Amino acid sequence: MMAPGWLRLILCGLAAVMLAACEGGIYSGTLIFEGQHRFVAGDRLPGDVVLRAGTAEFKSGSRVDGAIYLVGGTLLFDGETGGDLVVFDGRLTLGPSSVVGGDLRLGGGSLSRAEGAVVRGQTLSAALALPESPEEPRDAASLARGLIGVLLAAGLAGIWARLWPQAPQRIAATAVRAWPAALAVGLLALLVLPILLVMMAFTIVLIPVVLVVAGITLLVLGLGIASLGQRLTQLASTRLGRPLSPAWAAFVGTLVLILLFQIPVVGQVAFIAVGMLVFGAVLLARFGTRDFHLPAEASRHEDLASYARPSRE
Amino acid sequence: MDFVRYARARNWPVLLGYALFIGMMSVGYFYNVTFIQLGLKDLGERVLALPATTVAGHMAALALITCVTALGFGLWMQRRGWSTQLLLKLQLALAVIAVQTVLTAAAPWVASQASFLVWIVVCSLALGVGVPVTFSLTTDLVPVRDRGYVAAAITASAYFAAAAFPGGWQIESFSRAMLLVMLPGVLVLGLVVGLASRGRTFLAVYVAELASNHRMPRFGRGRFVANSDGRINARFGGFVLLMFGIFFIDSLGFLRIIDTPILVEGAWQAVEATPRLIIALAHVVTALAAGALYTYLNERHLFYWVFGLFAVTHLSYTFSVWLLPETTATALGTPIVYAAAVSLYTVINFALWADFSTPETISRNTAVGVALSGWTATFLSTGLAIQWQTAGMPLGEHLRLVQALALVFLLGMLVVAIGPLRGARET
Repeated sequence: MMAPGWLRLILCGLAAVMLAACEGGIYSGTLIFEGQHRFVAGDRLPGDVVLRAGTAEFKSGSRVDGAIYLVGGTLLFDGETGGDLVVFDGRLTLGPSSVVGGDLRLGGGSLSRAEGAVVRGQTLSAALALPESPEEPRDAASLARGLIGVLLAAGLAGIWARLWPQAPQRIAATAVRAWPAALAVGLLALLVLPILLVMMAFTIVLIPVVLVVAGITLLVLGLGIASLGQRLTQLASTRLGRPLSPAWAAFVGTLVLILLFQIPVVGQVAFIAVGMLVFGAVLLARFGTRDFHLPAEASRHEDLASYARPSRE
Repeated sequence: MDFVRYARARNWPVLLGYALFIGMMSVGYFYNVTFIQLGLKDLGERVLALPATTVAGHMAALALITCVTALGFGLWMQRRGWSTQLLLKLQLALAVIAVQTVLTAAAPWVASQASFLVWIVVCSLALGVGVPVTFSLTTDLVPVRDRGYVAAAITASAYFAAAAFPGGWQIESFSRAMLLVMLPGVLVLGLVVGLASRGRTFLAVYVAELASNHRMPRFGRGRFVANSDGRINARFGGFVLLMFGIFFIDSLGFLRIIDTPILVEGAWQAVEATPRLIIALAHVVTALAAGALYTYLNERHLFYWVFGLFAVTHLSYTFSVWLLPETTATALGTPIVYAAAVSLYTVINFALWADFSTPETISRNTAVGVALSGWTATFLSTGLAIQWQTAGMPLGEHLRLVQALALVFLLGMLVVAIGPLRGARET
């Protein structure tokens, strides 16, 4: 199951920052915020390196085992890296002895490359290797994995709808009846969250909070998609004369929506629109724990005749 | 939306009222955020070569005179019963816009500090009269249910034009652009007022019908006056304080941001059109979102969003400034969040005061609301920004203090959530 491009972009950014903050565990990495850093022959950095600001100089004979991400600042590189060298911004100078084991990806910033600099992979003009879904060949195993993921998500939606039948109904009702408010809240929340998460990740100590918030964000999206999917499926199945139970409706609806999101372009646009709508609806309905009441002014109904011009004698 | 119902009923006078109100307020607000806030700064500092502190002092004087005039004229209008007289308000609005048009045309020819000061005094008098006159049109022209969306349309139009403005922030280009909008505006409004005053024209009938709108609860009784008579009370005072906080935080932060080229050259003052258009579109989208939020949420949640967004914006700027020496600030994430915060509170400002008023009290209430929150905040924040800058306060510290202020207001909101604002919740 492939996430849409913008989501992958955010996740990659978060992963890069978080990866760089971990030291000595499953992952290793180095995050450089400021100042001058010099690595000479024989120095070896395990894992990835993220340079956010400052200057890092890698002399000939130094080595980075993983990839290097240049987000800002100056990188004077004359050593060897086992992975990619990815440039988002900042200044990169590749010395004559430099060896890039993977790809050189240029998404921004400036590059000065000496003769003799070796790039074993490709030199690409995009910083992130976001695969173009339509062209990307998929083998049977990856398709099967994707399908299992989708079925698992739909199954969880069905179980949730069976255990707490009122929650998806409240969320869907909010998404339908108060859709402008749901869209607005979803838009603002999804605008602010990535910025907030990245800034929190930069503080290092808040990385666990980032993980929790990111998890909650995905949960909110999941609950919203399941709720909307259930509502749409119930409507459709009732019209077809074969109404489904809430749990089955949630299962089928979630399955259909997720598959719909896989359609190139249309699916991604639909994901963004539906994502904003249901995100806001979940928040307004407090995760389905309460009904969202429309304000008196918004729910008032008046006779259409009262909107006509006064009659003239 | 009542607009759709009026359109289906082909009630042309009311639809004309929507257009007139949105047009007047959009141009007025565009004038305020470009010509007044940025153009006069350029006139003083670049054209007249006055010290920045002197210009800022003059700007503070403008805010103070506008505030006092608005309060005085708003009270005067209420006592004379002008609040409910639509034609008179339109005539006054025409006079204000005509004066502003002359002032706009004359601005590039201001050549000395004395004439600059005279210009500012006349301008602030006109602005001060304009505040209660134009805001009090709300009860005649905009149904209560649509005030959030109308405010959104005003905000979106004004900020889109301001953000996408192709010229530099110079008085000459502002003057030219404003005259292109104001001259036709004066002519159209003059035509409406002229024909409406003659008594037998179709526009006179239209204006007469609009003038009776305020007698309908749909127009006349604001959203927050269900159980009161539109008097100024403690709750109203609480909202003046909150809006003051918002204007103060915005102005204090933005005054410093626009003086920092690296923070604006990739955004509001980018040479390329793309970043400016992205910000302009962000204003439009978030203004529409704000209109929906105003309509559907209670006001406490709106203020949570505003203060929260400002806190995130300044936190983000503080981060950027922390890393500035080593980076190029080209990302648009923070300016977009800033645009969202500004659009949200502007929508609230355009709708809130009218919703606290009846047709009889609207001129006074909008004057008190707009003058005490908007203009006083601008006056004080300008003064404080000058003091901080002359004392040599670094940019990072300045923005950190603004961010702290936003957080204090947000915290204060959370603390009083069970207090005076509790009654504000709508079901």
